[in-house]
Amino acid sequence: MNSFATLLADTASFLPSRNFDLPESTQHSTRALDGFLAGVEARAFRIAQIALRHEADALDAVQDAMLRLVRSYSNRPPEQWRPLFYRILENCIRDMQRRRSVRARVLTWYHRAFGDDAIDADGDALEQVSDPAPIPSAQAQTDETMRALEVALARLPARQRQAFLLRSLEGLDVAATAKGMGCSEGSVKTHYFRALQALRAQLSEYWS
Amino acid sequence: MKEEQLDQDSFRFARRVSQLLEQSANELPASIRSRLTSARYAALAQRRAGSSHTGVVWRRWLPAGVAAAAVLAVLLLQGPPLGSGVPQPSSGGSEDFEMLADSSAFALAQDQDQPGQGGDVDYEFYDWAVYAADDEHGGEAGS
Repeated sequence: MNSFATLLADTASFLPSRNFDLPESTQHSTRALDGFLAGVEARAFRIAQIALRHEADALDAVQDAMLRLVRSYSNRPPEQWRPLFYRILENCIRDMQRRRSVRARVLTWYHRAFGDDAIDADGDALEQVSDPAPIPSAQAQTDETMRALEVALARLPARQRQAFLLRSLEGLDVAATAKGMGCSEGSVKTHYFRALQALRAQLSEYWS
Repeated sequence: MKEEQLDQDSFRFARRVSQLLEQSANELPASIRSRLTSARYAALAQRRAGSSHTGVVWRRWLPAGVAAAAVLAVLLLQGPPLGSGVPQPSSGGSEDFEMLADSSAFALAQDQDQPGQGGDVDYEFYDWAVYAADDEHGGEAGS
């Protein structure tokens, strides 16, 4: 959350007038990057949100992925951006899950060592460690089917979930999904098929 | 089992899930959309800042360059003098220079280079010179 507060402050200093100092090629590629990121940001957020089950963490993951793409890969051809971006996003999600796991372990140890009173009064950190509840701000997700789908997706192994979301939500073909996941096309097909079977089994009562 | 082997029911299920997910992405709350836009602007602002401040890159390396120059200067001042490991020319070099500077030797060389102008080569002189040198060495050995 703090990073978003600083982000908003930084954004205030972002003025269009600075474009006049830049070469035309840079302005052109910046516009192309802007268009690309604008096109993928919502779906990227949903992918991160389903994996992390936490709105703020998902926003941070998407922001990190955007920064890393712009910093390291913006000079690549635009057709390579999409698989690269989703690979970076998956790494960000994994980093976030690892950090969260360490934080949960530390808090559990702290809780056992010093008792309930030792936990921060607002309990915010513990809430962030595990947040199985649906996000109240997203009105569209209050639908029971959507919630069940999110839970089922979150239960999938990471590679299956990644393959399924890149194919179903982002609409990548098998080759681009393989690039985004850093694996073979055969592995993508297998992961996707297994994910689909698992989802069908879990959601049979919603989709008969 | 792989993706190609999906039956019709699986296809229908996959399509419905896909539509549901797409709909949820399109209906994100305005607050989240706004924060995503801010994140995007911040990432692009970083790129713009990087492009318009290329001078910052070399300035970042300036301290390292100064440190490297200082180390090099210390090595040059305290280490062995440059060229100490290079073999010196033998003293024969100065003898060659003296021979070239000698006017009579120069004349001899000219005679040798231009046989047509100064007559034929004086072989008798060279034979005498060889013998004279042998005698001189023999005399030194004998004494």
